[in-house]
Amino acid sequence: MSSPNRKTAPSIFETPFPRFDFPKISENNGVDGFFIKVIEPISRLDLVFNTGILHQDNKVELSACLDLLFSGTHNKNQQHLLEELDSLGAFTDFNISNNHSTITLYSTPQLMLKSFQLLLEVLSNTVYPSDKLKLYSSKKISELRQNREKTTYQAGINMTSMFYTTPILKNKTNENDYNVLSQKRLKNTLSKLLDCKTVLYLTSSEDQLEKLSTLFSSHLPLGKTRHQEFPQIADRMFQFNHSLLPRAVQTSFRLRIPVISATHKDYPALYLSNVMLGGYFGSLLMKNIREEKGLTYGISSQLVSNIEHGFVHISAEIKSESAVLVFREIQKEIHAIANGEFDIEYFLKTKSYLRGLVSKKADNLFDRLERTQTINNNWYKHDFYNSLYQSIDQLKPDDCTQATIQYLLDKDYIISTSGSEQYEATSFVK
Amino acid sequence: MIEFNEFSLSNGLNVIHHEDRTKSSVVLNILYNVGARDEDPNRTGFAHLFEHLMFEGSENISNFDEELQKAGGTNNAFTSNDLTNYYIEVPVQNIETAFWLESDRMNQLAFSQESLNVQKGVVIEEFKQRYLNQPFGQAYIHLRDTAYKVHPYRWATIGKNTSHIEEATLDEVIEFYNTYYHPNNAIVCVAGNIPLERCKELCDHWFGDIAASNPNPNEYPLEPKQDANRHFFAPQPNSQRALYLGFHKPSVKNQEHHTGDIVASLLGGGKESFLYKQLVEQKNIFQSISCYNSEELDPGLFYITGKVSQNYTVKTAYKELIGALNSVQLGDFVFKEEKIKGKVNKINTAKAYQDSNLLNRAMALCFFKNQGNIHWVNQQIEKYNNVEVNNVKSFINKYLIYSKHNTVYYDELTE
Repeated sequence: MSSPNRKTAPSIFETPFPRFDFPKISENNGVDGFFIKVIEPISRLDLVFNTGILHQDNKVELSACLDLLFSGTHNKNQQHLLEELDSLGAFTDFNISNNHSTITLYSTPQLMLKSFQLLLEVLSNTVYPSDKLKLYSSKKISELRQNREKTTYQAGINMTSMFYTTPILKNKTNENDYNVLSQKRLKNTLSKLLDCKTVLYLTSSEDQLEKLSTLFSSHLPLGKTRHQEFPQIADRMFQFNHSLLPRAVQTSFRLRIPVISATHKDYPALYLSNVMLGGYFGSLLMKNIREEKGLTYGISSQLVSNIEHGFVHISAEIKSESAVLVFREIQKEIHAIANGEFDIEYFLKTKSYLRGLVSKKADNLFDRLERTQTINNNWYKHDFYNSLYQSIDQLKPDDCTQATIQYLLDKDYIISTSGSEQYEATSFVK
Repeated sequence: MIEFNEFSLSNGLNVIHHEDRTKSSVVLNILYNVGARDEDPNRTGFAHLFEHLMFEGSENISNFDEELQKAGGTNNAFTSNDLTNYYIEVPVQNIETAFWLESDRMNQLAFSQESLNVQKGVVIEEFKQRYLNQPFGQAYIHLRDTAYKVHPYRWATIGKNTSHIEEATLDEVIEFYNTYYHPNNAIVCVAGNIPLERCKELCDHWFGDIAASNPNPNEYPLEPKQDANRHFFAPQPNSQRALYLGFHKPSVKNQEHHTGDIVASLLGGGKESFLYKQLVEQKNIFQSISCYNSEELDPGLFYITGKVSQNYTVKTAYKELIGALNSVQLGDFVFKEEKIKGKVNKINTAKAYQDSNLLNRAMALCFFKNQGNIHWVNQQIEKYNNVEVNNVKSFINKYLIYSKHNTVYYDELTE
C-alpha cells in the first residue's frame, strides 16, 4: 500500500461536452415518432400534443382534463381502470406547458403495448363522471386555499402576474375556475387536445414504435398542427409586489429579468454568465448568500428561454428581514461579473463543472429523450445542443462580462416578495 | 439484478464495487453508520448539522466543492435517523479527485468556529423552509414525539427545535467527528465505468492508511410496547384541518416490511385504494388520504395522513377513519390476491426505474450492506412477490391497532 499525497490535488483531465445526435424521425400512418434505445428493462412513452395552456380559456381546464383521465369510461369505472393499470405495472404522469401537453406512460418493454392500449381506450372513451369532477374541484379549491398561506406560492403567482400580460398567464387561478368545470367542458377540452398534432417519443429496449403509432392512428384521429402561441410580456419597467403573510417565518424572494430567446447569438454567453451567477452550488450567489452569510438554505438563478423570449429568474427562501440585503448582494454579484471582477480560475471552473454535469446527464436514460422533445417542440435546429456547447467551449471571460452588461446589469428588475416582514418598493429601486 | 463485488481494507473499511461500462461517470458513495438516533437528546439535529460541516474543508483541502467542480463533479449528502450518506458523481477520468476529497475529510476534517456559525444559520433557514414555513410542516415532528417515549426516533433528523442547533459547540463537533467518522464505521460503494482492480487500487491507496477506531455499537433503548392511544393537538390559526396517525411496526429488515409497503398501497396508495374510496369518494369526509410505511432500521411507524373536508370536524374524521380500518379487520377481507399482485407489479416497475440510475444502485448497495445483508438488494422483487393475502391480513390486524396508535390533530384554535 502506497501512502497517498493528500497535500496535492490529483491531475484533472478535461471532460469534453458529449455529442447529442438527434434521433431519426419515423413516420407511421401519419404519426411522427422518435425512438431511443436503452439497455435497461424499462419503457417510457411520451405522447406530446401540440396544444398547451395558451390555447385555453380557463387556466385549470387542461390540467383537470388530464388529471381526471382515468376517472371512468363508458365501459369501465375508475377503480377498474386503475386496477388494470396496476396489474400492468404501469403508471402515468402529465405535464402542461404554454404550447404543449404531454402524457407520459411508464411501463416495461413486455407490457408497453398492453399499457398503451389501455391509455388509448381511456383517451377515446373517457366520460368525466360528475361525482369525480365534483370531488376534484372541491379538493383543488381546498389546496388553493392552503397554498394562499404559503409564501412560496404568493411570491410565485405575483411574479407571474407582473411578468406576463397575456390574460391566461397573468390572471391568478381562482376558485371559480374550478367551480365552472363541467363534464361537457372537459370532454370538449379533450377533443381539442386530441384534434391536434401528436408526436410519440419512446425510450425502450425494444423498438415498438411502429406498432404504437399504428395503434394510435387506429384509435384516434390524426389532428392538425396548432399554431405556436407566444405569451406577451409586460413592458420593461421596475415592478414590485409584496404579499404580507403575518405568520410566515421566512421571506420568499423572487427577482426576474426579461432577456433574449434561446436562438439569439448571445445566448451561449448569457447561459454561462447565469451559471456563474447562480446556476450551481459553487455559484457567486450561493457562495455569498448561503456560504458566507448563512441567510438561506439555497439560492438559484435560472435562465428560462425558448424560441421567442427568455428570462433570468432568481429565487430563494431567506431570513425574514434580509430581503433588501439579499437584493443588494445579488446586484453586487451581477456587477462583479459585469466588471470582470472574477478570477479566470472561477470562469474555467464553471465551464469544467458544466462539462461534467452535461456529460453525467447524458448518461441518464431520459435526458436524450427530453432534449429531443425540447428541440422538436421549439423548432430548434437539430444540432441546437451541440452548437450551444461548442460555443460555450469557445467563450472567453470577456464574453460573459459583455453579456452581463447587456442583459443583466442595472435593468428594470421585477421583484416579488412574500413574508411577515413588510417591504416597500423604494427599498429595491436601482 | 445488480452485480457487485465486495472487499474490506485492513482498517475495516467495507467496499462494494459495481461496474457499469455504459456510463461515462463514476459514483463514489460513502455511508457513515451514524444518524439522528445517535444524538444527545439535548442536541437534536446535530448529525444533520455535522453533515453540512463535512463540506467546510479538511486538512489539505480548504474548499471541497470547488475542487470537485474543477473536475466536473457533482455531489450531495443526506442524513436520516439511521445514517448519513455522501455521494460524488464525477467523469471517469477524474475519479482520483473524488477519492482524494473523500479520503482527506475521512482522515482529518478541518474545524472552525466561523464555519460552524455560518452553517448553523443555513440549517436554521432549512428548518424554517422545510418545516416551520409550511402548513402542517411540523406534523411528523409532533407525531414522532407522541409515538416514541424512549427510543431516539422520537425526534426528526432536522431536530426538535432550532435552539438545539443554535447551542451546538465546536467541541461537540470535534467529538462527534472523532466518534463516528472513521473507516470501520463506513461503507464505500464505487460504481460505474471502473474495473475491480482499479477500484481496489484506488481504495487501498486513498483509504488504506486511515486509522480505524471503534465502530458505532448501535445500541439504543428499546421502545416499550404502547398500551394506549396517544394524541397531540396542534392548534391551527385557520380552517385547514388534518390528521396524522402513526402505528408502530417492525424494522425495514423484517420480512413484514414488504407486506407493509403493499398494505400502504392497498389502503392509501391512490384513487382506487380502500381508504380513498371509503372516506374521500363515498363519504367525502377527507379531501385526500394517504399511507406510508417507514423504512427505518429499528422498529418504525406506519403512517396514515389525511386532510379533512370543510364540513367535518377532525373528531368525526378520526372516528370515521378508525371505523374504516376496523371494517377491514372485522368484515370479509376486501383485499383479494389479484389486487395484491397488481400492487406488487406496480412496485416492481417503480423499482426497475429506480435501478436504471447508477447513483440509486450505488446507494441501494450501501443501504443493504448497512442493513446486514447486501444480497437483499437483489431479493426485493422476490420478497414483494411472496406477499400473500394472509400476510396482508396479519399485518393489518397486528399493527394497525385501534387502541394503540398515535394521532396528531390539526384543528382550529377554538376547539
